Amino acid sequence: MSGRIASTAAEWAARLDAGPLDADASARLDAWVRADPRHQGALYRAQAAWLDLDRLASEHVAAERAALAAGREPEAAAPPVAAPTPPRARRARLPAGRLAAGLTAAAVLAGGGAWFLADRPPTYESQVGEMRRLVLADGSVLTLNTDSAVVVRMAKDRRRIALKRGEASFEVAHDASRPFLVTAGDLTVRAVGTAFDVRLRGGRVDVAVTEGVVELSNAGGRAGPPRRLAHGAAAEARDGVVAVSPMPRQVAEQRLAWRDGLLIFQGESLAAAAAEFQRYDGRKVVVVGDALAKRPVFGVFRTNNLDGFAEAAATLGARVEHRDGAVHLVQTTAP
Amino acid sequence: MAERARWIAMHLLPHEAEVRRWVGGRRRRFGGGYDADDIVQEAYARIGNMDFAAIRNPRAYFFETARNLIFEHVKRERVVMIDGLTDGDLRNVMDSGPDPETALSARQDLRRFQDVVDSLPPQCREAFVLRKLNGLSQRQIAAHMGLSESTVEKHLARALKLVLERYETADGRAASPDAAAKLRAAGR
Repeated sequence: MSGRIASTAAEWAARLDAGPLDADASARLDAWVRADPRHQGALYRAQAAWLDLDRLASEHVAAERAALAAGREPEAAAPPVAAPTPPRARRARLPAGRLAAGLTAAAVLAGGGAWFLADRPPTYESQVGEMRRLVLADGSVLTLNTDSAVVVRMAKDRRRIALKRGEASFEVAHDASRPFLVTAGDLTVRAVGTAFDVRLRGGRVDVAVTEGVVELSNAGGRAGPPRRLAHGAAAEARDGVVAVSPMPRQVAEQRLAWRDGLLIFQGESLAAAAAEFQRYDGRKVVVVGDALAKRPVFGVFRTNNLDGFAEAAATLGARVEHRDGAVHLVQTTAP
Repeated sequence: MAERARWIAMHLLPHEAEVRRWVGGRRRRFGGGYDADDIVQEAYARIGNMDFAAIRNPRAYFFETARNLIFEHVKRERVVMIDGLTDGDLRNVMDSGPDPETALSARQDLRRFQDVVDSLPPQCREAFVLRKLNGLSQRQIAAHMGLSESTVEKHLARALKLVLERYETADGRAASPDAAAKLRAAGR
């Protein structure tokens, strides 16, 4: 019966959540999905519900934080629920309601607490094409772009995030007693309560501030005193040199469009656009022909729509070839 | 893949209970040999395989897809009478439902999360909270809890099964008695 299908779908969704499947599991999943359209639908549904729990969780934490800030019981905890609650879930020492308190305690334990500080701070990673939203123990929200990794260390006097790879955007919960420090390469971005984006590529770090103020400093301090970067400004750090430039609203929107799953191009070269798509797709994108590579690109694409981009490139005078697991855009017309 | 899941989570899941109820209503009337689960799951597959970004009104599309699938099943089983499945009937149902954007209020979402966590056995709950609230990977959870990775996976699958069950009826509780009455009237 279908209850069993839903159940099997949930098991596969949990399996996929653990990481990439090995060849055997992949073949089994494939066979199961192909056997019946209901199987595929059930899997879509299960994966959607699983993903949606991230959103529910972050909203839950945000609501709880807001309620605590306002000095009242969190609403989420107020109505009695039918589900049985074991007595030990009541953690009366916290002001928040029953379960909410339980969750907060767990969240604080995991993010800020003792057991992770011991030796290995947690690393959070996203895979190619994946975007992950995390709520940290202090209520700050961290969004990882495709193929990115951060290490989170929460301590009593500071909140420290190391961007190891890729790009992350931060909405920092205000806490003047605990600065929020993000390091990427040599650069450190210091914030108290603000929103900003950091991208690491090769030896270069880009920072964009969309709310509040941050301070930038380079490792070793050889670049002098920290530089302030306010809302609406962007910085590029390379080889110990930090260049600050204003960031018009339009540019900010473009930079952060990835959070909505979009890529926006406003005249970037086709080669640069191709490199962006490659970030989100398992396939390599190769542009052949100087004139084609330099063609400006305008438009809004979905981050996962490399094929749509290739089609658009075809209208600019390119032939699209798929070989060796790569997408080749080959110039066909003279400039 | 993540994008499809996100789209489905945002545009189909909130309406599932409503579509399911409507499909269930047809079944009672015609005694067809189909099950609401079958129709709903197949509808997810059909819509999920489309260029869903082009769908303007996902809720209406969900209903239409379910309706078409019922037709197909009914045809296969050679049931002659098909009533209450015309465009007009469908429109009545769709018009009587909640505003698509507010099918599930944020508040209900929060309660659902809490309900889910509340109803899990202790180990399962801890794994689920570490995964979803703290964002640890399954491997990290296994290391922390001293469990095998496959046990963590089983705990999480169990939590997800529970969540999925809730989507079957979730907004049944949310819908006003008035909307439910209209729904019944539309099926008359």
